[in-house]
Amino acid sequence: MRNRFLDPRTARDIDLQVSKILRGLGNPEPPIVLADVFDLLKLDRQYYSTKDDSALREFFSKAVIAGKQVTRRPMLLLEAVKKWDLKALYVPDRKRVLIDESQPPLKWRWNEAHEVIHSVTEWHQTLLHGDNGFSLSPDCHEQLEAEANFGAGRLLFLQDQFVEFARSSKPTFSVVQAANKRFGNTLTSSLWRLVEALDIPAFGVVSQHPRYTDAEFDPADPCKYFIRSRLFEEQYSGLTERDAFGILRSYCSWRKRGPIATEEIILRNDRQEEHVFLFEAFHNNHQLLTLVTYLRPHPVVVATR
Amino acid sequence: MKFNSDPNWLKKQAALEDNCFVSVGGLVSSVEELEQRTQQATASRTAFVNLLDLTRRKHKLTWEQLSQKLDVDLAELIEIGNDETYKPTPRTVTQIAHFLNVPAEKLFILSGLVRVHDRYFQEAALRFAARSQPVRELSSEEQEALKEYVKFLCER
Repeated sequence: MRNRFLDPRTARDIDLQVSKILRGLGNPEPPIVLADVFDLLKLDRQYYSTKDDSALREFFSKAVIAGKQVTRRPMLLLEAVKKWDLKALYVPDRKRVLIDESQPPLKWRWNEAHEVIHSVTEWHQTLLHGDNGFSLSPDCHEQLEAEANFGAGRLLFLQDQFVEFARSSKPTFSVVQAANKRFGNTLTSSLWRLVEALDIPAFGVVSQHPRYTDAEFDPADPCKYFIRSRLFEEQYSGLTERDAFGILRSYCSWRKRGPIATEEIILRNDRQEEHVFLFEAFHNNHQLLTLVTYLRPHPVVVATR
Repeated sequence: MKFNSDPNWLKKQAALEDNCFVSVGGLVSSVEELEQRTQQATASRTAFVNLLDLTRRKHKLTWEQLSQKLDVDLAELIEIGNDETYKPTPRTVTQIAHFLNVPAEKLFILSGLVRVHDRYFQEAALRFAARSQPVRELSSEEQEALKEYVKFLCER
């Protein structure tokens, strides 16, 4: 999955909703307490387990969609949760967010914030309230998810507080770790936000350890997340997920945990110019997080007699 | 008799008939259904563009003025008008719905962002798409261009 930058107006409108929430909470210091957000928006939270779906069944059996009891849709929702392995969902009529409790609690934060954004974005309301015969096109669905992810990032990382934090020191993996502590979110979401906030060419990868891949590893789609900064996207558009994973494979050591590699590497941009990047990889016991950031142009060596 | 409706089996049988009339059970109707769906999507999309264009002209706005009024990127409006495959953003569709004063969910269907199985809705879109093409006299330049192009086609 690749990150996707939203068009400026969409991003602005979602950001305005996030600003309203943060203002309503008195512009808090990090980490933001999501229970306060739910109170402010009068949203209800309920936890469910995909292993034991009795809570979901009970909820869906009483669900009222668009003011009328719908007998078919509750079961469709239940099937959707199972089929797509949903970690959270927002049910507009009840103003309720349902969270999969089998996920690690730190991941609930992202899922909860993501659903909060669905609940405060005008066009998401329209689309989520759709009737039974309504189905979103895959593009539209992907766009809505990208928008909710953008808003979740802006909310959990307190908008420009994170941008200032990220740009105030040299962009290395230690910034990801510092952000993880200060803003109270996962290392993965901290890596994602850092790359998107950087004003230099940079990319991040979340993947399996290239030396210890398991049966689920797909060589055709080797990166779980491939996150690119705006400038990287513009100047290095030819570098694919497979290229990125090839770089990981070349530089990662056999270590299993913690820092796996720190190297200077050379990448060629779309104009075939070579530049030096800092490559850092860190394994958090579950997955490998890689940050690659721009350092300097690579000097051109001209042979003379 | 029970027809085999498995699409893979049907395609395999069709391939065996290579360029002959495809008579395997169900495939013809599947293809017809697909064509019908594509026609419906095109009609909806044309209705969406024409609705926007007619309302723009009713308000005597240029595309640039309209983009300002809607708070939508001008390039996106132009793409909507010119590229049938272009998918507008959900925000843009909502802004247009406010301007046209129509329910946003209906416009989501016309724009192609949402699919719906509603025959009456699709037929109405088709009728509007067919009726909303302007029928006005050609200017002398347009007549000249048309004449030249027909001549070119006849000569080739």
